[in-house]
Amino acid sequence: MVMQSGKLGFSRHVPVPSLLKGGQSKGGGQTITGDPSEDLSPWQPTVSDPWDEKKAKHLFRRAGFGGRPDEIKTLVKIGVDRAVDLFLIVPNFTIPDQGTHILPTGEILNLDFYTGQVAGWLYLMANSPWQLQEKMSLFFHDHYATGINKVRYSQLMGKQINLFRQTALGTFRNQLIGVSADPAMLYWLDNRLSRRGKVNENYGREIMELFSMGVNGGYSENDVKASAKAFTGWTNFLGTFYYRSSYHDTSNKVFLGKTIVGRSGAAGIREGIEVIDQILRQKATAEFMVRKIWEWFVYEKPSKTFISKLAARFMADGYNFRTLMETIFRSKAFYSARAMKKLVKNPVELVIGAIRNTKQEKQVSYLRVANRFLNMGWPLLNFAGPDGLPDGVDWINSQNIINRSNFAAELHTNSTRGYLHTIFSGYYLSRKDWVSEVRSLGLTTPTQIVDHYLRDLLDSEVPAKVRTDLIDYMTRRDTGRFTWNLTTYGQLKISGLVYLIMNLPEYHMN
Amino acid sequence: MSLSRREFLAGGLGAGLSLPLIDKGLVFEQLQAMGGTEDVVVFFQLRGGNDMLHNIFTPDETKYGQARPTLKIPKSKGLQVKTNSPYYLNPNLASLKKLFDAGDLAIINGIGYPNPNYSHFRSLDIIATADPTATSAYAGWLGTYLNKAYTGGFQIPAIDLESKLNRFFVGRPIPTFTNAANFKFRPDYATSFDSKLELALIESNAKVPRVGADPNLKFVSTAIGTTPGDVGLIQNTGANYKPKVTYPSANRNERRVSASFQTVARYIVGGLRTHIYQFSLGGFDTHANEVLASDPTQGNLAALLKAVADGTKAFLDDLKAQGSTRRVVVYIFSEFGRRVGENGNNGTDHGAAGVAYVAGSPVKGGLYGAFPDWSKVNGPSWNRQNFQATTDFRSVYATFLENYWKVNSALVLGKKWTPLSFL
Repeated sequence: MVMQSGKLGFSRHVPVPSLLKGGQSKGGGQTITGDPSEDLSPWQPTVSDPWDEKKAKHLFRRAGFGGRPDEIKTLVKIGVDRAVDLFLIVPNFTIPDQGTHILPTGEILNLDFYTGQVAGWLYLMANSPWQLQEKMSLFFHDHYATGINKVRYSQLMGKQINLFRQTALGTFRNQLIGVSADPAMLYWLDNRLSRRGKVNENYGREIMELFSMGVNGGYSENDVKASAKAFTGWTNFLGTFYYRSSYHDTSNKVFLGKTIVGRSGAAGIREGIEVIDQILRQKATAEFMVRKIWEWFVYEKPSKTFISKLAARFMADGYNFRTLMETIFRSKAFYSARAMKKLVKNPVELVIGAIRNTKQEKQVSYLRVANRFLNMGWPLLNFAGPDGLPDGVDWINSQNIINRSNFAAELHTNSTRGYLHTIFSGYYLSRKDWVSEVRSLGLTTPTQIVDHYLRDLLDSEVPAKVRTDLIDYMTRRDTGRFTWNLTTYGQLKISGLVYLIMNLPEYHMN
Repeated sequence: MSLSRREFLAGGLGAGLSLPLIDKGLVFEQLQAMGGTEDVVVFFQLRGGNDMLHNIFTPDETKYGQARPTLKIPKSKGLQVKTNSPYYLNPNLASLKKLFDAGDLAIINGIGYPNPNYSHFRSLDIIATADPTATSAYAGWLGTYLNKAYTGGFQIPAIDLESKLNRFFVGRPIPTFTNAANFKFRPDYATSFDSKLELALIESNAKVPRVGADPNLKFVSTAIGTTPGDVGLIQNTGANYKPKVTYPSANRNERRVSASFQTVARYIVGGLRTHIYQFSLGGFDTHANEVLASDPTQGNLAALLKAVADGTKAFLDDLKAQGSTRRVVVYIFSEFGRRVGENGNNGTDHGAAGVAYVAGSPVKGGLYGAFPDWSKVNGPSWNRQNFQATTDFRSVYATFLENYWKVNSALVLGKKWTPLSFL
């Protein structure tokens, strides 16, 4: 595998690959097995299996946060190759991590406070044209699971997410170096305190256990100690990384079978990078990362043999996230039945997806969304422990169900219509006008309207009884039945309909 | 899948259940009438690894002073467990000491498991699955208990007072909330339009069978379909509860512990049949600033221990004052202990054997489990030294299962563990 020389800092420029040519992708590769769910060769449309809205929505839900109806139509029109190309555009940019800023919606955010940071990120997830960049950043936030509760400075949390934004489709090596030197991480896992004679093992352990090799990844307690010693001196000063050579343990270390020669002075910083390089030489590292990414972006519990084959490619490609993600998003496996709608939306996917699916991303107050979002089982920028979101559906429970439902209510139902659109008392961002929307689509009857939104939001994949009950709902109130009239009842019942659709189990699937 | 009564009797007794029921012709209803199956355990988890030697210590052991020059608590400030005992409790645990003196506290020394793992997450997985070889917590032991051994059939057998489901319950979705007031649907936020109709539709839509659906979709459907029923019980039970004692509230941790205990008290006093409650308190991962350098009986851990002890005692006193006749115990535990010696940051690193407590009037108070052997640890690298566990945590689980809930521990733990005698 390609090892770069040990140089601190990540590359400033992540080149856009030659994919914008379109046509045959380079990211594919040969079939690994006959099973379509393990087939990494590029998926191509056929007459019986066309590139359609369902697949475009699937790509948008996984590589981004769910598409607006107009964006989905565009993806269908340009074809799968160019659709994936669009997601792979990831510019090298950062957003401000401190101070007060005004969003294009008119909302004022103070990033020096926690909720302001969360709101700023949620705004970007809902509005960034570079959806994969924010999605990867969210994945890495779950991976490196850091929390304001210990870091304390919201600015440093913003800074860490900027690091993910910049390394989203870069190499794992650059990212690990960046994370090891990241001020929030130096607080989070105590490495700022670790020094010669008083070695703190927290980061030295977690860089292997949680960030690269996984539990039982083949390291010993002695490796933990060696890694912790190698990282002594990596500390912070006034919110930035600072290498303090006087803290550094200059003894020789044996780490994962390799002797790391102890160095004094500024050269001691190289030892941490040697640890990272040695971690990257382990098969366990590539397998752990590939499995985690696969389970996040494609489906749960992939086979061991499949993961080890894909991991070998990831390692041979120099741990390049761009190549890996491109391979995934173009593959037959990604569009297989085992992947489509088989994951459960995490809270961010649900919240931002609901906003985007209904084209309200310029209309809601992100500070309010941030507050509503905090009780759904994933307190963004505020993980309680460094292990991140639990795998699978473990975190789904009745409390989350209630909070997910109540979010949809605040976004859609009538008296609340506007709660998430209120910036402060008396000032509303413009609200969703459902009557105009269905008029512009030429829909008038309850059946037409129900069928439209079921197709738009769920590809019409709901039990027949659910559909008939929803049509019935359109002409019923708590007080009894009434005669349908779009002008009179449209806003009330269409927003209620969308609320009910967002409460269907199918809407929670990703 | 829960067992029917028939399966329970057949499987449970066939597998060698310790209760000789068939001979006496007892049926399940009678077993329940004996009062065994829905006695309450409050699981109170101290997250991060509670430092055993800062809970219970041996001031006369010279190695204690050598290992902990800064952290050591002077003998004069410790609370001697009983006359002539070498063991002393941290003065911040005074409330637990009172329970101990009343015979209502079991102190379980040296709790742990073989081949200790020093990672929080591995260790949490291990105590959650009750399986030291588990690589991730796909089935929590309480989830397994509820699915395989619990026969009460109550729809809310357990409540998790956390923001996310504790790993103990993996495999069994249960109500999970930190504030009961938030545990309800609000279809219409300010005024009501069609909220009755909408709530009914949320429930009925989720209950329409999903033929051939994959497990995740079925899981979500079940979760949505059962939530409205749970909401009714959680909202209506014990709504008039008022504490009858003063709970601690001096700081954030005390308020958090008190709020959790009061929620539990509310449902117990209100008559909810729920028999398992779980909540946790973080901050025990004391790598740094475990104590104040100027006073080892003060500092971060001291405040946490005081919150734990005072909160637990207030809760048990409250139940008594409310006239509750329910059998209730509180199990206070952590994922592991910490190193024998301090680390130079006024703290301690992840270790092996720890201490756990079981409090409540059903408990036979006393010291359980041997105190770890000082002769097996040696300086000068005290911060590398670990106490070996003397008591397996699974024997504590077996005590709850066999002696308290009266079920076969092998159904839950894979094999039978000999219970301790604190219950």
